[in-house]
Amino acid sequence: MLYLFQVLNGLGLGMIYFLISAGLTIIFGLLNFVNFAHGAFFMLGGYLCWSLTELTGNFWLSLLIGPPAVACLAWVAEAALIRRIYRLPHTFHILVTVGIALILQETTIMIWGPTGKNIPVPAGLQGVVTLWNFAYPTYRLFLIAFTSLIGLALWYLLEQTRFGGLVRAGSESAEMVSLLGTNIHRLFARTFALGVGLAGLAGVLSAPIRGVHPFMGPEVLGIAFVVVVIGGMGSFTGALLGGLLVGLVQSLMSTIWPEGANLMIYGAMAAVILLRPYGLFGRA
Amino acid sequence: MLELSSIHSYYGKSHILEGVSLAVGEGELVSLLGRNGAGKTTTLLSIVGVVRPASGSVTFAGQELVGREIYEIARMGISLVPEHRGIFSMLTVEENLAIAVRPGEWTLKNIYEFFPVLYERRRNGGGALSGGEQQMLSIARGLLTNPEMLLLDEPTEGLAPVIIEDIVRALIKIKQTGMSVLLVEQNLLICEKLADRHYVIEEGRIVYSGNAADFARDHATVRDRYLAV
Amino acid sequence: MDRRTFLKTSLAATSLLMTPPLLRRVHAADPVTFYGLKSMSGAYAGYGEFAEKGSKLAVDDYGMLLGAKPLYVTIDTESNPGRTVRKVQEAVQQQNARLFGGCTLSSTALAVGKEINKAGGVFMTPAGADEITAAECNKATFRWTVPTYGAIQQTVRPLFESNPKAKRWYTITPQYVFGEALLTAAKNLFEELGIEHIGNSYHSTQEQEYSGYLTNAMAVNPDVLLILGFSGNGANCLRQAANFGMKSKMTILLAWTQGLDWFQSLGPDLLEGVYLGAQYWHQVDAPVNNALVKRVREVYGINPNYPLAGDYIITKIIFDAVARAGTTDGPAVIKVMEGMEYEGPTGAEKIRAADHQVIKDYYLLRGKAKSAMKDPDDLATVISSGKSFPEGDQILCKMS
Repeated sequence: MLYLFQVLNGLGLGMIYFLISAGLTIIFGLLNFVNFAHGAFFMLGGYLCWSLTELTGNFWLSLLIGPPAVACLAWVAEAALIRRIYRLPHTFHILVTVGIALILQETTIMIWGPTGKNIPVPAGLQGVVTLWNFAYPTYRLFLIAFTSLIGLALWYLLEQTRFGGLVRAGSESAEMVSLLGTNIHRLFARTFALGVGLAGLAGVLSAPIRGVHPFMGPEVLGIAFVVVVIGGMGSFTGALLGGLLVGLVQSLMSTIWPEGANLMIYGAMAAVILLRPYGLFGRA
Repeated sequence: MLELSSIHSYYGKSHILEGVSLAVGEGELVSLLGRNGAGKTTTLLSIVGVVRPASGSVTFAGQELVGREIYEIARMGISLVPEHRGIFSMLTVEENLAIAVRPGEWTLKNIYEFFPVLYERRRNGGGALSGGEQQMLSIARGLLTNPEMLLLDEPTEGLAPVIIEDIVRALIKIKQTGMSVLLVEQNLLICEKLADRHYVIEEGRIVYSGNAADFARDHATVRDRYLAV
Repeated sequence: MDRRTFLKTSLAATSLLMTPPLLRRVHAADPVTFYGLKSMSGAYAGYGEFAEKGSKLAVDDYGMLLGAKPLYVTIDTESNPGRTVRKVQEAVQQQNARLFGGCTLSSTALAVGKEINKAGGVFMTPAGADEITAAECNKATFRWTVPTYGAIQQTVRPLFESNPKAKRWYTITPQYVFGEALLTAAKNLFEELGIEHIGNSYHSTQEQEYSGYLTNAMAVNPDVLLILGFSGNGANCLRQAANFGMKSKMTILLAWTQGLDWFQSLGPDLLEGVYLGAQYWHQVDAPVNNALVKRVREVYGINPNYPLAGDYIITKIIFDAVARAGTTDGPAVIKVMEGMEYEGPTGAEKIRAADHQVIKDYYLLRGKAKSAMKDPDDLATVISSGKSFPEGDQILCKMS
């Protein structure tokens, strides 16, 4: 029974990790770009959620507005800065995006102050659902359901639409896609905005569970990269399974060996890399 | 329709094309022959924008191509079927075709009629196809963009003779639709079968130019001087 | 201009201003300078902001000290022990700094305390680690905060005594030295009171996700959930416990909280009915506190919180000690401070000579319902308070 709960917790956690990592892996897959600012956009999603919820008292509004706002910001960043450095080695990507992350972090502190903030669980999703003699938070069940829907929508986008086909083709050869007449700059910009928008969405969704604080970006970035490495850089399925794996490991470990919960995430990553160096679904 | 004027192109510091000039008229199938390393592929890449010529000009339907983005040039009506075919191995045959589709006479339906084997394999992954099937897929994809002009980079390379015949037959049919084609090849015989005019490139320079009749007469010389290994 | 350059420039400018006084011999007209170690940037900037306000207020409101208005210099710890130690060394060597106060992080406080002791200065800190007035105590270091023993005694005991049927307690503990200290203090008290310690979950200080530990806790049906984490750990743990509906199933106690500013970031919906341990509460009726609340409202427009009150009184104590000693000479000031009794923000307070620990109240608060709040800061009521410290041979400090 206890393990069932840990599994549910792990699923919920895992789906959030999946959302964040999906964005990261799509960006890496197509753009071959290492986005170390991903966590900062996650944080921004959370803070926008707080501001919009404070302003309007409506969490759903911030769910609707927050992620697109973050995506727009990403679009601007891509046009202004990121676009110029695709060709450069990954170390430059890291330098520039770490810089962006720091700027976003300090700006957040300037606007919202250095202390953390709480976002109440939206009315209607408060309280618990009673299963047998245990209670499980309604909001977390909603989270699992909602992120699954987003996951399905993403799958559909990538596998069944022309845009998705171009993104997947482009991750093999951006040049070939260009030769077929697709405006590669627009494709990159849209993909970057989509990937970052997913991080912003994850930020909004996890705010009622974890609150927001200015240093939440780096914390989540570490996990996102572990998930992407486990799942395979550029693989959507990898982000899903990697996310769930990490979520489950973290959750189950807190029953079996709590002190080692975080350590075991890295242990899992090490195990996967030893067996499959490119991750579960990665390409050579 | 397509005119190259004194193109100089470099790879890094290597001076690959040293003043290449050639032309392809509307509805013509023109071949460009040469050994490995002569500059054939670089010529094609210089047209489509993958390589930017350091000097010279490329005009297509009166418009200058040099300096434009790859996708801009593609949208103007030039489609490249590249040397290594450029198949997206993780996409199915149908997906490979679908992302190329642009409005025009060539549609997914008639492409499948033209290349029945692609219809049979439409749900297979691009990477699972044989060499010949991949080449057909690459050509089909190029056609689906409904270009004014097709550029082919060694389409018969590494293929078995039986398959080569299929490809040649397909190219003849394509030519009959009135498509302008620039065909890069090492295989003399194929060029003779298909092309209206021929160029030969050696060490980055055009060293021979002639029509079918000239070529029939100069066959042996061309072969021995420029194509023998 | 980056922080370091700005700080150096401001320190240099201040030193230039001070040079004429310093060039004269130690004379009644030399302004006394207090060096505030505040986390103005980095992860603890939130704390530093209030601590800074506290010290500045104490300095500004202090009249003449040894014939001149006292001066105040901020040293930004950047929430980084290494950098802070270097800055303190610079201040000691270049500005002849001797009077220091502050430090949010215990690691910083311990490192800095050693430096200041070497230099023969005086240092008072609100940092929480037990060692500061126990195993790592030294002549120069004084501490205002109640350490783990008192925090546990003044929360667990009164809570249990008001509800002796609540015998099953589950603890959630951050796994590091401080968390362990709280847990040990709790376990000892559980034994004394006959409380059943039905389980403990350790978590890393980086932990964000408490659902696993909370599920473990719920599985064994505790009467009381004792959360030993604070700041971000405590916030997430409490928030998620509330999500899981645990507030209605058991009593929740957070033994160590930062007080008002932390309460404000969580809000009454989360805090209602939750028991909270605190070092300071602005609603406490004591002469110095009443005056402090009034003054802070006048000057800053807010109610004082723990960081502000702590660094305020620390600054004031050191100035008062200098006044009584008639000199800024380290050992003389220390001698005055040992045993010094005074009115502080928690009422009557005393600096114990044996370990330089301030003997003061620790509070057990309870979160108020939103409907019961009379103003936005009326987030909790005081349930009980008192002074609990290790006595006699239990005092681990052996000062050489």
